[in-house]
Amino acid sequence: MIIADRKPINEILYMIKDCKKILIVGCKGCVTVCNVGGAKEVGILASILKIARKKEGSPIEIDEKTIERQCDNEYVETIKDIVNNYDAILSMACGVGPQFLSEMYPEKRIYPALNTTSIGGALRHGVWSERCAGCGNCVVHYFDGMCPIARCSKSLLNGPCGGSSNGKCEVSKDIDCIWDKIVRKKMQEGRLDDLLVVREAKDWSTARDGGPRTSIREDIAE
Amino acid sequence: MKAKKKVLHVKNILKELGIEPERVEMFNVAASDGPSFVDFAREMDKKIRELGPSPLNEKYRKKAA
Repeated sequence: MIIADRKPINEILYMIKDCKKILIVGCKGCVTVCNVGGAKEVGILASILKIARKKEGSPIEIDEKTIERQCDNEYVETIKDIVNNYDAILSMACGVGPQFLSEMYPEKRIYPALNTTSIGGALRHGVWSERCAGCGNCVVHYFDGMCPIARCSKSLLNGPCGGSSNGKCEVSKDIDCIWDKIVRKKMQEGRLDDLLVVREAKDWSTARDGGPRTSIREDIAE
Repeated sequence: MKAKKKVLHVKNILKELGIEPERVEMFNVAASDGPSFVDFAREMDKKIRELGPSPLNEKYRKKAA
């Protein structure tokens, strides 16, 4: 899923400083799963902002709405009858949400309430970790199911750097060296020779280096 | 443990909003321990009086201005 964090309250307050009435739109997709942009979090943010504005002496009216997904126009459209009631819309979705809202409602001011951080999964309740860099050409099968592009700080594809120490990355002791894990697993499985295979340099044009990407499924595209 | 984390979260939100986090506290009291409950309630009452009216109190805000 896409993982996100809520922006600091002061940053959000600054965005909406001139607004008297706003709509906070949540998303029932990834950000609900990572507990940052679902109906519950929309309610909490609305309360926080109302308290903050009351304290400043400039109360604000806030309505809440959480839609199925903000990355699908058919759901973004479901708020078309109410958007004009507000000075601005605060999107509690990943970076896709505010963009889809802006595209559908170009006359409205749309603000992001979240910072999108990564594509990953839950390690345990309340802890999420990056697993995919969206490079457009998956290579995890070469590395026993571990992606060195997303999980090595340097995205190295040919072994650990000199900063790997006791299984940890030199960037932080909280980061596992994924190359340490890859090599250990290959040794354990008796397949260390896999890493001797010389592979062609990765074609990064399928990643961000090739510019913004569009996927088209000819069989279903209308 | 869950409640403790949530109380800490609320304290952090209050701090972010510039409101004294001490306005929210959590105490552990056994159901049979009435005297401790009274002590904690008195402690909280004293603390709130020292802190003064809530900054969200409109009358107080106007008076202060």
